[in-house]
Amino acid sequence: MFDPVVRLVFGEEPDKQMMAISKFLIVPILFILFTIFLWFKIAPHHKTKSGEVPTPDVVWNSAKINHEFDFREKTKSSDLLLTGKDREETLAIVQAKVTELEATNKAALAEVKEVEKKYNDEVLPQRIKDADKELKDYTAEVKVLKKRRTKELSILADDVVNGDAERKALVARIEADDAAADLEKEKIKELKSIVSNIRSEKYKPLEEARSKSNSIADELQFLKKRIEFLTKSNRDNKVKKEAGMLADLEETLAASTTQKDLLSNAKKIVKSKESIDRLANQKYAAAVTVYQQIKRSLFTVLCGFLMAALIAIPVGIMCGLNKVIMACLTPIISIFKPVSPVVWLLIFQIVVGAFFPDPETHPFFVFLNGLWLIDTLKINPALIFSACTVAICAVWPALVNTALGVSSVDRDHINVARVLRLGFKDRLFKIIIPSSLPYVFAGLRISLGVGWMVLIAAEALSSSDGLGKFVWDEYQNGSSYSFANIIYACFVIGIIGFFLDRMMILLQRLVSFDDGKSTL
Amino acid sequence: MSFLTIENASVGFGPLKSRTEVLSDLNLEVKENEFVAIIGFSGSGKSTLMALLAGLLFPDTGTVKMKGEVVTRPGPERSLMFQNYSLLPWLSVFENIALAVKQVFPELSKAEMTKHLENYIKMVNLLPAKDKKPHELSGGMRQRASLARTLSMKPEVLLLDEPLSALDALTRANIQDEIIRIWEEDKRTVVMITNDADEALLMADRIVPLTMGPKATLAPAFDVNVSRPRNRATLNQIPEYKKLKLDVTHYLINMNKEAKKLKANPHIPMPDVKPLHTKYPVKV
Repeated sequence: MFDPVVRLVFGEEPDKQMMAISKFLIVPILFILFTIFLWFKIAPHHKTKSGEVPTPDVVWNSAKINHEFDFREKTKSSDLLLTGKDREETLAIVQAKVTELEATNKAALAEVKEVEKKYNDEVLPQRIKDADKELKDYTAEVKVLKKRRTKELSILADDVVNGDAERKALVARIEADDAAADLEKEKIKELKSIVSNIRSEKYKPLEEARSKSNSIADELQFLKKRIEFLTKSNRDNKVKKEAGMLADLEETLAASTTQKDLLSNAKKIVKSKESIDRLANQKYAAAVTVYQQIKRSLFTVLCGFLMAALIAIPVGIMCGLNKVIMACLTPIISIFKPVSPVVWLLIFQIVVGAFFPDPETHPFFVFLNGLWLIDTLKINPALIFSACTVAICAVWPALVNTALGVSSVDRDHINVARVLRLGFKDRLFKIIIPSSLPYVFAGLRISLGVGWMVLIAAEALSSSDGLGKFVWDEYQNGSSYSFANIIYACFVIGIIGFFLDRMMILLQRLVSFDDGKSTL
Repeated sequence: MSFLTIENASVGFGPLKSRTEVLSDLNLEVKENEFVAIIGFSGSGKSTLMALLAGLLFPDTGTVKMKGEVVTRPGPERSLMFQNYSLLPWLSVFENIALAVKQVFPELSKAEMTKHLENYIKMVNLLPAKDKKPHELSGGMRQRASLARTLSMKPEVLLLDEPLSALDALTRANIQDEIIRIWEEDKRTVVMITNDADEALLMADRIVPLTMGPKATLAPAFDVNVSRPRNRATLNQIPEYKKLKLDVTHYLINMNKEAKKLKANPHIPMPDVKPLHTKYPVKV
């Protein structure tokens, strides 16, 4: 795609390259800009229970908020562990920031109040007054009309009695009056709703001032929390404090003479030692941020994908080699391939659940969570059965493609093997597997795509931490940013899926011997 | 005593009821170190015949024997050079040949192996391209690589299945010369299939025509008693050669005519149909 740009840089036929760039780079970019513009324009018109459909800037903002949240959680957990000089320096910086920010916060709060006052005292009352007046006037008018109609109707009834008018006319008159009254009622309702709309209408300057003040308050709260973590709750501080107490206790123990004192002080020392041990290993229990969800999702999909590959490739090779095995497995493949991931998830939930009654103490999970690199992922049964669901849904494309690749090895290559009298092992590893590798990798690529798609659904349903759960939590949350967060997650999932696919394409190119023509 | 023989062999394909006999009643005797060319039209079952000799296919009746023993499976002693190269595309030229050599001479040390391989790659003039993958090579180079692989196994019988049919005329002449040169340096039994009479006359000691299929069989052979080395440029002036060429060509043309006679029936009965109504009657 960027070929013409590179050529242009080297001054190769500039006209031609410019043409190519405008066709295949500029036009697509313009098209994407156009779709974003459409999104901007159309989204605010669609009002839902959870607010307006977010526009691109709102989604971008939610991405920033998620990023900020991650940053804050990381800072807090590192603050907790800071010691000595580092801690003091950081504390000084944070305190300086707090003083600075407190002034800004005051100003922002004052501004909010001012805008609110202006809105409540000037903007809103005038408009409400206008609308109210209209409503009152109309109600009065309607009253008069009603009275007049009642009067006229009784006159008409008298006329009927006297024989001046027909009975039919009376009925018609009543009907007409009812219709008129309905219309008036409708109008009154409308006017009332106008008044209430004005009351509930969001005043833009006020909204802006509030959100500004809110973000400053958030930042301030964060900084105050940091100060707490750097002073009172700091791990090192706590340990030191406890150590000081321990020293005191030891002194009292040395000084104590009675049996009672000795026993109680000795017990206190033991307790204090225990609490020092506990404090020394204390860590900040950071909230799960979107980046951690991404990491966990990637890990889960990788587990599932590896499981799928480990099953699909050997079984696929067996199917491709032997028609009897193929005939045996075809019904199984055909029946289980179309089963929905949700059903698999439930099945695995039951099966895996039976294996691990208590994940907290089960040696398997204790072992996994003690391993390097994956210890931060908090592996639990939910992850295992999400990965199993991914595996079983991803196994089919890889299996079918591998079988196809193995069974369509060039006849001539097989003949070469026969003439050379290659043994089964050599035939498999030197002819059949290399020859079918492009097919295998094409299958694996589809598998990874399917796996990633299935994973999000599985995580949402199984509450296994990951992007799926992030989306599900946001949906359940229903805060003002939830909708934007869901759309943000949609982009994150899409972009990661795209990169996973690219990665598989690169791998496929590496193993294909036809110059990568079979890859797109 | 003949080195390689086919005795009364016949081969057919398809279900028993509507079986098509491709080859029937084949008889061939090849002497040791003889160069035999089998010539025939396309579709006459030449490649099937080659598969029989290689042991990739077995006759329904009759036998194929080598050195008096019945051929029961393919093997490197009867090395087949395939019509469409059959180089493994994921291996370089060197690796392709190495795969064969390792299998046939597992006792060679690493140094001996490299020497052996380079020797054969040099023989077909592919040394500069030895680390290239087949798809990076031209058709002629691929064919030469395939030839090197076949030769490197030091087969007792070399089976060449239309080795040059996919090449252009110039490359073809080149590789013809190369095959002859290599054969003369290191004599062995060769059976080559071709559809080119000139090629057969230039290279072979004996030419055996294969009649048109189905039920193709081998016709009486023509001995090529032209002394070697044969020079492409002066060959046409040798009266023996001219006569032989005429004979072979005539034979082939006649065979083709006969086959056509057998095949096409020009008198296909047509239904006698006339229109019932003619809107515009034709004036006679």
